[in-house]
Amino acid sequence: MKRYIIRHLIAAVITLLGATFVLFLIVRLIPGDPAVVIAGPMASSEEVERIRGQLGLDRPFLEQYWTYLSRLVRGDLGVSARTQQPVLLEILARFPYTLKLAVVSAALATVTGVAAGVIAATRRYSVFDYLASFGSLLGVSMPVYWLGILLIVFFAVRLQWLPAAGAEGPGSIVLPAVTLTAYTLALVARMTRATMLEVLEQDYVRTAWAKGLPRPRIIFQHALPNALVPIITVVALQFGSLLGGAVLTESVFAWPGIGLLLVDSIFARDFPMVQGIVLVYSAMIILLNLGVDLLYAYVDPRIRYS
Amino acid sequence: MPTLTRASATAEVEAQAEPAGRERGRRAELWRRYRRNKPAVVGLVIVALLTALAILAPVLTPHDPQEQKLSAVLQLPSREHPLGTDHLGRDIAARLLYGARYSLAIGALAVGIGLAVGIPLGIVSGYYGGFVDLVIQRITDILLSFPTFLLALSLVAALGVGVQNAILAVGIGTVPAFIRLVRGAVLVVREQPYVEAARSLGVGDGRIVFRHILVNALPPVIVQASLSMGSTILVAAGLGFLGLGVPPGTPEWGAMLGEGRQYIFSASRLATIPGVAIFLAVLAFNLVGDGLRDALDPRQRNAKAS
Repeated sequence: MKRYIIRHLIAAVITLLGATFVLFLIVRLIPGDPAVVIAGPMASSEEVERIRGQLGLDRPFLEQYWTYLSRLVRGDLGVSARTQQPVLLEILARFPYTLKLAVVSAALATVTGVAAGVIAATRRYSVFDYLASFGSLLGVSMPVYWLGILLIVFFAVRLQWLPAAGAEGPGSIVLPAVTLTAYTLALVARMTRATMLEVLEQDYVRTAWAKGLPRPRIIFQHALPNALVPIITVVALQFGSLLGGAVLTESVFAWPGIGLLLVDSIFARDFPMVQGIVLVYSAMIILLNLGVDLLYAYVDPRIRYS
Repeated sequence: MPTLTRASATAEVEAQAEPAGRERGRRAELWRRYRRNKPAVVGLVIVALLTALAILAPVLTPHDPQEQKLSAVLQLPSREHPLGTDHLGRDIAARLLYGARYSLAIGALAVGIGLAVGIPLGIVSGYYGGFVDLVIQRITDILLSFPTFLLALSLVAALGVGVQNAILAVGIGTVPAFIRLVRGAVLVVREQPYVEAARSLGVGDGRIVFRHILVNALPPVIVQASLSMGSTILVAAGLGFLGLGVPPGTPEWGAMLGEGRQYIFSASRLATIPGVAIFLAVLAFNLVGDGLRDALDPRQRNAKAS
């Protein structure tokens, strides 16, 4: 068990290091002179030199990466080229919005997705089963930005029930959360249906039926708990694409999270900010993957003792 | 499933009679299985239709998708403009037709990058194992720690807007899935007795890889390629929507949606119509991918039918 945990911890650290290296490389991919590009067309030559010095572009490549890393370890993500504020502070100010949106959507997707999947699996080949399958196919094919716009057109423009943009008032999160939920909901419903179908064929479920246990008890106490592990895994691993979708959702609804900040920063060519935000995203995903691996060890004794 | 057994038995007899007939028999069998899946057939028809529309765009519309007519902006659908005009007086139908070229080509080329890079790396990783495998797997982990959309976004942020950059940015995100898939298939096939037999007969690595291993790893790769077409179209259109994909003015579906979103209060069709196109294309490739998976993997089909 200890070895398992240590191995996964080391793998996570290596992946995180790799991610920082990729992000470091990406800024060096900028065609031409990064300092000139970041400074913008109106900048004076002193301004360009100042940015060159700030990014350390005049020093050897590996030394640049080392400086970047040692700053990261101290929590220094650099200074925004646009606002001259520390990147970390700006991210921390906007992060709660993204977290709120992502958590609400993930929770919504899990609850409704599991419910839909369970009903579809227990009433196989019923109208509901086909509707759920069809619905999840639509869900995974729907562009999240298009769904957002359709919802705005219908609920904000036509019916005027909910605000079309911003994060003011309790109603403002409804449309972005529903928009972001669709894709994950579809995946969770699919996964739940497939896993439940498998579990319902197990011997212990047949035994439960034979004992004459009531139907709800069999489904919710015998079958569902055994189907939950793969479902939770899917939800956790899907969190990454949820965050990717959140960038678009935040952009559609002008939701002031780090996704919107990312898009604005790209247009402003504020590379320290872009680097910082993407690093936060990938760190979250690496941590979640680690969490899932450790959760496996916790629930599956075969892994624990191997 | 008696009909199936009979069909494959016929295929076997044909195979003994004539080697060329065996291949034909296998294809016919595959098509028979695929055809039985009605949604998959619908998906194939939509894909064929979209491809035809993309190729025949100049024949189907007299309008230039880029031509602006500021005297005729935001017109409702009419005989001359079947879907109306946009905010710059451009014919929406023409832009939609020419847009099919961009969306399909970007999707196909991006998946092409995934195949061209992912297959060789997957083979090397699975066939040779050891240190090479470890390095390739870590790189895959690192790439997977960025959500596809965020990876594409970061690359475009550095490389800048443009069709080629969009293809590259979206394509790199598809690589890890192909590496994983091919590696997994190679690991299984490598241990099969017929590969061992070939090796003991002194057959070279290259021949084993191409004649024995690749052929057997192909079915899951084909399925993944089709599903990836759906997701690359979605990601590329997402970039276009944010204004970070194709250059401004290009008739690409995502960019059309992005430009149209400013008019959702006055002329919502500017945003809703290109969304329908993206949705249909993604849905179609997902249907084809699911259909291919069921047709190529009889094990799973039986599990589903049981």
